[in-house]
Order: sequence, then structure tokens, then C-alpha cells
Amino acid sequence: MKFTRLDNGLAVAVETVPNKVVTLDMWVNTGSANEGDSNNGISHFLEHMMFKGTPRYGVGELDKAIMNVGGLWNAGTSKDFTHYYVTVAAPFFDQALDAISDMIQNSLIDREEFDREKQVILEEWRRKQDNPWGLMYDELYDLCFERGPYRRSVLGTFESISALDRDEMFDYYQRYYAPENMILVVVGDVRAEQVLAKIGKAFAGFDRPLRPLETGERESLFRPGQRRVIPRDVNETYLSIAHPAPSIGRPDEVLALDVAATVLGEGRSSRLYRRLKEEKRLVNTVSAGAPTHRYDSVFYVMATLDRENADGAVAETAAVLHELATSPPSPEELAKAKRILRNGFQFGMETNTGRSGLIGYYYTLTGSNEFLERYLNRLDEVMAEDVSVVVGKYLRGEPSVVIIEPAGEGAAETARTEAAAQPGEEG
Amino acid sequence: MIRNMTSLESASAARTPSIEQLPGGMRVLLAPSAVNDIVAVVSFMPLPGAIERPHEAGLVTFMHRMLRRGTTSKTNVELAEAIDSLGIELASEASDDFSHAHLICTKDTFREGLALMAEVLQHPSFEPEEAEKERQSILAAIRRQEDDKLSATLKRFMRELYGDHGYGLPHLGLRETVGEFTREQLVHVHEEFVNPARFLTVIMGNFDPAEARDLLTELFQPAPGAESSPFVIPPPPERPPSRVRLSRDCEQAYLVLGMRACPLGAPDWPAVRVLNTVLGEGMSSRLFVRLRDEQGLAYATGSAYGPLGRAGHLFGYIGTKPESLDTAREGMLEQFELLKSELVPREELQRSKNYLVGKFLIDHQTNYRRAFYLGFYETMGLGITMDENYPKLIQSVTAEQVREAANRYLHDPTIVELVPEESGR
Repeated sequence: MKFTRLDNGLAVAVETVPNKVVTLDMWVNTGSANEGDSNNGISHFLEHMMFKGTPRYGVGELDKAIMNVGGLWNAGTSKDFTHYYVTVAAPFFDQALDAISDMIQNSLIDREEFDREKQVILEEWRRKQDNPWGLMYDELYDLCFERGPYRRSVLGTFESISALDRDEMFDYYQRYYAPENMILVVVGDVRAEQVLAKIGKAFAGFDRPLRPLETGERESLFRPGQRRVIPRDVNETYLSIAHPAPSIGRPDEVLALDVAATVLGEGRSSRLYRRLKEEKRLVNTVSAGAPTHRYDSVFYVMATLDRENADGAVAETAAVLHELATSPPSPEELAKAKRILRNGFQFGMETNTGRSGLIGYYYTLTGSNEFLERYLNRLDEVMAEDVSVVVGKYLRGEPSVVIIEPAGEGAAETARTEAAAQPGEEG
Repeated sequence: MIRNMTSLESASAARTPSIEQLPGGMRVLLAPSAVNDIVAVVSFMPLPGAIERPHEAGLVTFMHRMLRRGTTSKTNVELAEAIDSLGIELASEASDDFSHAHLICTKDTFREGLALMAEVLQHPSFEPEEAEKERQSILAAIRRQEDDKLSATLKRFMRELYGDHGYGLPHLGLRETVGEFTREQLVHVHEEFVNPARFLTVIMGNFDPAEARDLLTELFQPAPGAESSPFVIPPPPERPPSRVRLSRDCEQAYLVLGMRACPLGAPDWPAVRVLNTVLGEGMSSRLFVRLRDEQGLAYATGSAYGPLGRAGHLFGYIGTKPESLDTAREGMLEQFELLKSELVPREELQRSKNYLVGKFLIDHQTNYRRAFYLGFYETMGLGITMDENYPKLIQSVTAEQVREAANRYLHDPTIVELVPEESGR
């Protein structure tokens, strides 16, 4: 991989893969972690508005420019980042670069378009309420953190989205979409020197200082022992069990926890699958994960099950975690987990967007390529005892639990409101 | 002027390898490539999900899911351990017109991975206790499917469109059928239809072809009964359009509106592909621009074309606030009508065709997808060269053909709506 930084501070990474297509993936180091209650949802809303035109590309023309050359593009916003990615056949690199570079530097955030798009975002919010897993993530982070960067929903609340205004968004755009706050990752069938020269030219006049807002919420304080029950129009019960998890600033613990999550919840031979699903028959599906964030975040076990098994599943999960904390994985189990992670890493690198996603994500979180470059070496170095130690440190306390359960006939709306208004109490 | 991408695609396409037949009868297509260390194996079998009648809905999927629950030489636990220890992906599933199993592994686990694939496909144990566990898993998955309101609406739409024909039945099955299947039925489906002598196996990636031939010959044995003729799906009978309104406790109203269209490989197939792209695929499509961008009616809207072996369907979909449902329905129907009355402008047509070709190219990045496409077209009777010819077929579509196709298919829609309970009363 060829890595460089332009004079204006924009980081650029280029990796050549001879597969006939090329992906340009621009990562911006901002997301809902930089928001407060009043502007919650602005990063995601801005991501939508970025496609709404520049002085050179009118409304809808950015989409057409990419579709004209048979390209696909999309964007995503999370708690720590926003990114925009476009994939085209390699000969159309210039067209893709022109569109994405102009969009990033010169978006207009048109007022009329802003008002129209707000209705789309509100529809997205409504859609999320009808999707139990989408709802689950928001409820879980809201329950686990009384304050801090990760409590708020990426999408925002109905009220915060409704209250956002165009000038506030333009100011946010100018503050965070600064070259030193971004990395452009290019992966595909290109020659590095050639595309670096073109990128340098496309972003030559882009000088905008980074001026972050003061949100004052950088410390994640996990709230253990919370419980929220949300009745909905669902047939299954959806369960999340959350514990605190370390930030990417502690890479050795992150890797050990990745191995722990794999031992616990990856594949049909994993401990939670075997115990909760196959032996005790408490759950219908189960998985475990610890998404790596910039600040301390959560480790979770997620399951679907019959409502009457929820308490049993929580208790049995605690027992499985206790066993891993007190008894390290066997050499075979450790080797298996590492192989699953290593192969998953390799399989993920098979597509351009998979590769650019890993490069951009870790760079955005850490400001360097070191974490990604050392990932597999660090994985090799994880010892069985490291796994038990990290489980003992983070996953032994009282978890916080969210349950989305089938609503009782006629009681759904009342119960839902009460549960949401009284976090920490069973609805 | 927007350029046509045909020349690019033909220049960049790899030469399609040829099919050979192994001594046991299995047809194989071997495409080695050293771009990375990954190997994908896809075995296509003539076992269509649409073989099922209503009282059998879900039987084929149940059988597939049992393949991962133990073999004659490994218990469920031992098999899970063996698969996970290799870090491989191994699965099998039913589609409407065929079934396929796939293995994704690294070059150093190819031998062991292929041996496990052969074992699960040929020697499943169908232990009664495991079948009961799987039954509960499937019933839970059916319940979860209903929890996504758009999926629930679409599921009902397919049933309305195809009735009791296999194309209208969900692959997971129905609560009432899955609860009743016996071990004997599962064993029978496996013995009758999962026969390596009838497989088409495609291997793509970092492997040695000579070794692959030897392994496939050694590991996959033809089963007795290989000579019986394969099942042929009957064409689904015509059905009158219908209109259904369901109600649930939800925030949005969901609409699926569509009709039958031509099957895969029919003369109109490329034109309907392009028609669907103009209508509702991608961020420049008409439904996306008119209903979402200009009117702010929805986050999720678009259209889809599902070309199957004996039929096809095209539908538009949207999730919107309940009070906008009528506007959304009228807006969608208006776009259907425009495609029937007006020629698609040249630039829009070329853009849509380029989008389809580009998407096709982008979807060929992984060894698994490349292997799948080659075997898919051959299995569906279009030949392996279709993977190479597809871009040219798409680029040859004219505006007149799109309008003709619109007039042939876009009428008498079946409409399924799922609305919040208050609106349903």
C-alpha cells in the first residue's frame, strides 16, 4: 500500500489490486460521537445532503455522473465516522475522482433540498421503529451510557431531526470536512503514482481548517445493571446483554477481546451457541461481538428467543462468561478462533470496498495504519491467558439488558412509552 | 454523450473455461487463478425449491439445513468443530429453480474443506433429535421473517402472484408444514435429488486443477438412481390480479405493487432488466428520484425484477408514513404508465444500461461470485458463455424494446399493503 499526505493535510492511501475495478473511499473523522442532544443526527443528515449538488453538479447530477459510467456509490455514517465510497470500472477513475472530490469540497447544502430531505430522514426514522434489530442498537447504547460520545443514535431522535436547520448543518460541514480530518482510500486496478498525481490536483485548492465543536462528552461511562423491556409488534423476543469494552487505544485488549468474542459466539461450535442453543435450548440464534471504537464502548451478546427464556439466557450467558474468565481456552480452541479471525480478515479483503473499509476505518480511528498493519501479528501474539484476563476485566460485572418482546394485545403503545420514559426499569 | 461500456467489458472479460465430465458423471468447471489465496467451490444440483406443493412448503430448505447437523461419521458437535477449526464457509440452500452448496476456503484448507463438503452432501445422518432442534430453529426464523414489515408484505405479494405454485411459497416454509415434516420425508428428498452424478461443480481461485479433478473423483460418488430424469417445474398458472390490505402495529405503511413478467432467458429478458433499472434501481432511477428525492415520501423505495426459470415478476415497493400511502401508490402507478406511453430518453437509457453492466462487473470481484455466475447460467439452461455475453445483451436493448416490454407486462397490478392498525380499521 502506498500512503502519503498532501500539503493540505489530506491523507491518501492507494492499494493496487488487478481486478478491473477501482474504489474511491473517502473517510471523514466525524459521526454522532461529535454531536450533542440538540444537533443529534446532523452527521447522518449531512451525509444525505452531500449528494444534493455542488456549483458544478446540479441536484441529481452527482448520481447520474457515476451511473453514466456504470458505477455504484453509497455512504455510511456511524458513531465515529462518515464515509463515501464509489466503485467504477478502472478506466473511469477520473470521472469518479471528479465527482467525489467536488462533492467533498463544494457541497451546497441547498435550503430547499434540505427541507425535502428532512422528510426522507424522518421516514428512515419511522422505518427503524419497525425493525427490531435497528431499534435494539439505539436502545442498547442509550441504556448503557448515561452520557458520553456513544449514547446517542446515529440517526437522531424524531425531535432532534425535526429541529435541525440548514445553516447549522453548513457550519458543521465547514468545521469537520477539513482535509486534515479525512483520508481518501483508493483500492483497485490502478497505478499508484499516476492516481496520486491526479488526487493531488483534484484537492489542490482545498484548504479548510478543522474547527471541532465543543461537546464535552469524551468519556464513556458504562452503566451496569440496567434493564429495559420494550413491547413491540414482533413474534420473537430480541435480547441484548451488554458489558463495557475497551477502546482501540488499548490494542492488546481489543485483540484479546476479538478472540474472546469468537470463542464465545462465532460459529456453531462456539461456547454460547453450544450451551444456549444446542444444550439448554434457550435461544434460537445467538452471537457475540465487540465493535472497536475510538472510545470505550460495549461488548454484547445478542439473541433471539422465546420470551419465557430471557432470564434463563441472561443467567446462562453469565455462567459461560464466568467459565472463560476463570479457565482459559484450550490450545485447540484458541487456534480455531485465530483461524476464523484470520480467514475472515482475508475473505473481507477480497472486494475493493472490504479492503478500503478496513484501511479507512482503522486510520480514521487511530490516525495511522499501524493498527491494521499489525492486526494479524497481534492476533498471533494473543495467549490463552490474555483471553481470560480480558474477559475477567470487562465481562464479569452486572450486564445491562435490553429486551424487545411481543406486545400484549392492546397494550403495546402504552407499555412502549413507559419503558422508553423510564430507562432502567422493567416496562 | 454517455459512452457505451460494451467494448470495455469484452476487452476485460476472462475467457470462459469449458465444462468437463468426471468418470462418476459430475460435470466440473475449473478456473484456477492466483490473484489471492482464496478458493470457492460451488456445486449446483437439480433440486428446485419450487418443487414443493403447499403441504410440502419448506421441505427442501429443512433438508439442506439438516446437512450441517451431523453425518454418518460425525455428530453435530464434531461436524461443527471440524468446520469451524478450518475457518471455512460451508453452506447449502435452495433457490426457486435449483439448489446449490458452496465452500469458501483458503488454498491450504482446500483438501480438507472439500472433503467436508463431500461428507455433508453425501452422508448426512438426519438424527431425529437434531431434526427436532432444526425444526424449532426454522419455526423461529419464520416468526422473525414476519417481524420485518416490508419482508412480510413482500412474502404475501409473492403468494398472491403465484398462488399455490412453488414460486409463491416461502423457502423457509409455513408454520403448519414445518411442524409436520418427518425424518422419512427429509431422507427421501436427499436420496432422490442430492446426487453428485447430477452436480455441476465450479471451482474458482488458487488451486491445482489436476489435484481438484482427483479429489472430486475420489470424494464424490454417484448415488443409486442417478439415471432418473430430473424434476421439471411446471409453469405457474395465470392468476387474476388481487388487492390485499394487512394491518399491524407499525409506524410506516408498506406497499408492494407488481405483476408477472417474463422468465430468465426469454426474448424480453434483457429489455425488462433495463426497464426495471430505469424504474427503480439505483439513485437515479425514477421511483427514487420522483418519490424519494422530489417528494420526500420514503427512505426505502425502488423496484425489483425477479426472472425465474418458468416465470418472472416485477414490482415496486415503498415504506411511507400512513397518510402518504395513496400518494405513493398513485405516484408509482404513474411511473408505470409513463414507461408504457413514452420512449425512455437516450441518455437515461444508456445510463441505465451502463449501470447494469457496471454492477455486473463489480459483482464479479470475489471468487465465489464468479464461480456462482458461471454455474448459474449453465444450470438455468443459458450456457456458461452467458456470463461473457450478458453485457452485450444489455447494451443491445433499445428504447422501443423497453416500451414494448412495458406495454406487455405493466398492467393489472397485484397490490399488497400493510398499514398501521388504526389505518386498517
